Amino acid sequence: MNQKNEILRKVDEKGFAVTEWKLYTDTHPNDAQAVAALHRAAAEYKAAREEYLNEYGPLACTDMSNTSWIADPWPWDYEGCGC
Amino acid sequence: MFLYEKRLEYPVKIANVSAKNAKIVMDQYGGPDGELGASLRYLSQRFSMPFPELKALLTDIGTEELGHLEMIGAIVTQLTRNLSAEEAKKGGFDAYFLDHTTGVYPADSAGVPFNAACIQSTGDVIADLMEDMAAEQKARLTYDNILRLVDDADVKDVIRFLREREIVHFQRFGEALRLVTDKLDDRNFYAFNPSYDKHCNCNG
Repeated sequence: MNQKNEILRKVDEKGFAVTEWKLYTDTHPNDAQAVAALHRAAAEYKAAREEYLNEYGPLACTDMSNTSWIADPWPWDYEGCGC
Repeated sequence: MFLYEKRLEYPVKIANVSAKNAKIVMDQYGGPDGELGASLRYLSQRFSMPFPELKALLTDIGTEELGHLEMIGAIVTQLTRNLSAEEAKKGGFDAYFLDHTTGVYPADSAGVPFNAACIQSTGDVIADLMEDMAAEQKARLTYDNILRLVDDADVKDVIRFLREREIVHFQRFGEALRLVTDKLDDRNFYAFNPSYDKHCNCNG
């Protein structure tokens, strides 16, 4: 796995933790431990996201980055060559 | 509003092209229990949800389902990468190919276009949440059947992730339903629809 994919994988993992804790705290808004876990996950996600943005371009169209928003590859692009 | 994030919720990297597998997986793009119906169902129902927990849950799950729709589209497009007409014919994909070539179009596995008649938005929180729980089970069993029919490890890995999400969503909708019934008259919670039968005190 190249470094770009490695960092993106980290963004995916941290983003997934946020998704999971978010859904759980939607139905358990008074669970203080879960809310704390959501905040921790959100901070880790933000950090991983920043790491990616600085090197490999914007993840959202509102992100400031040196790389173009329109640049390939888009998330569904994969040529099947293991890259 | 919605803000797009330029990544998939879970990576999709399909090495081997297969029209046959594309035809099967396509069902979760535009089929009756697919991800398009799921996202439209929850994102529509949320407008009549009576409590903040439910507005949040329907918004968050509906949004995640849009991400799943994108993942299914990514699987289908990668399964048909550089597909020849000959391969389409061999994989039983020729009827689809005739209208759409290898474009990703919301239809079920048999080519029937997506139809909003397969979802509901009733304005009744109990009816809607019951439908949502059933919808998650129907999507889960469709993924079970995809795992039975597809023989490609790259595809199955992503499908297993999506199948797990249906189980988590079912659990959260169950909790949401419990939350609603706790807030209603527990002797007959069907007697009152909090999104419609409002107790309005605005006129004193």
